[in-house]
Amino acid sequence: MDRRNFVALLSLLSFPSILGKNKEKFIRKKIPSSGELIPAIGMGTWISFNVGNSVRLRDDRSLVLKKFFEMGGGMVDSSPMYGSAQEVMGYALKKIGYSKSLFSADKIWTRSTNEGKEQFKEMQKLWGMNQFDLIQIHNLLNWKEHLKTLRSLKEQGKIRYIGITTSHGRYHAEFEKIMKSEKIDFIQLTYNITHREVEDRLLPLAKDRGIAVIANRPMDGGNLFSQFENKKLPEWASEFDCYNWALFFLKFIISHPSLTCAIPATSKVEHMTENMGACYGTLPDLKTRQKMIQYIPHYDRLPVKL
Amino acid sequence: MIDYLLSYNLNNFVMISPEVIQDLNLRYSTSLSPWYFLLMISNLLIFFKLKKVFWIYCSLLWSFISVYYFHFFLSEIHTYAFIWTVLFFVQALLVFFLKGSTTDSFNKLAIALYLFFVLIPFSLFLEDSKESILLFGWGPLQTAIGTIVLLKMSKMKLKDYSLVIIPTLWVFFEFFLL
Repeated sequence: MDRRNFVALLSLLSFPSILGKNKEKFIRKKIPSSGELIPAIGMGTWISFNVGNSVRLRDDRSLVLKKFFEMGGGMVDSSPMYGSAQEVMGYALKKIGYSKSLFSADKIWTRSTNEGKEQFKEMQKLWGMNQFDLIQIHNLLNWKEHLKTLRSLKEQGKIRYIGITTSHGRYHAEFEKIMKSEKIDFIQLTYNITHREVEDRLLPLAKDRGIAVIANRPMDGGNLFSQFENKKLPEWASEFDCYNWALFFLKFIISHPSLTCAIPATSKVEHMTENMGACYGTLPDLKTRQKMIQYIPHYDRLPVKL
Repeated sequence: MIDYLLSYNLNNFVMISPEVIQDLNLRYSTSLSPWYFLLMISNLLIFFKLKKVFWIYCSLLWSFISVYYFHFFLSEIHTYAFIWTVLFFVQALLVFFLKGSTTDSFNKLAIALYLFFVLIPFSLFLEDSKESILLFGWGPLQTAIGTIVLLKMSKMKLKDYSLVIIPTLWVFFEFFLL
């Protein structure tokens, strides 16, 4: 058992007490365009749900999804780019049953307008659902045409929200232009404690324009764990109900007022328990967020911007 | 299609976890299980007794992996598996038509390399699970490395270098992106 699994086990053991103490404090965030509240922690499927036709691994992932819903999870995000992830998600949903709290989010990822329409039909088939909560344009590919398609689907009631995505800090200038000129409900971008560039312009703009924000790569693709697994969690972290590094990184993200949802991906039930723990208890305030940043070494120590 | 690719960095194409690739290799290997030892024997025979037909044999192995491994298995989990289906088939054609030089040295080093990369599964030293061990002519990495080794063991002519390109690309891809 490695250190992270050991810590996860400890979290599992201590989780009932956390829930007991703060069970009323389940953190939901508002989608500005509708006022709807959704759980602040969602689930990504990049790599973790790309398991192909392996029944054993599909069943394992179904258990991860089951734990996600049991702990109050909502948003599940996928993409045609993620290999078999959409199909595996459909398999898992059928196996464990379609939860009422599911907030389905997927993406269009193609240069072709017609193929974009086909991708939507395909995802309906793969997920086994007619209506999606959110469809996003992946990496802004052919975004002008796909936006028309998505608006038409929204009018037909096949989707409820429209969004655009990027990751790894790319396309921010184009992102900003679209946010200023188009009516969209969601943006998805990379935001975590070591990648805070979006605090400068995109997050304040999202707040001004009433756009919900999804943070992808909340653990920097697992790099944060590798970097901090041997580092001690500061004692003051317990002040905001933080007992492990997963909670530390996730609570930092969702405590930003412009952030709606963080979507960590995992293939392990115990890690899902850890991740969903961030949806419970209190969140760090502005002063604590600054302390959190300063606790992370090798960082540029920019002041916290809200 | 190039736009899709350019919308990502190279490391974004690491889209499969080690657990998943191991499971895939296990299922692939299991599906071929009764023929495992036959392939080991034919690898031995072809090299030591039927060197004249070695490159035709090698071409068949490359085309087999192209269709069976990439088209039927890796495509389950990798959006761009079809690129490798095509490249491995191209390699099969190159091997068939160009034919590499036949190994002309049976010195100790050559035999050791052959045993390590072709006869004894290279993956024996990498895989945890015995069932997912792949052979030359069965696993793409083993076939790619084996082909390079066999070419390097001979006195390579200019045309032989074109036979090294696709195997080298795959070795790079499997080590860094899978």
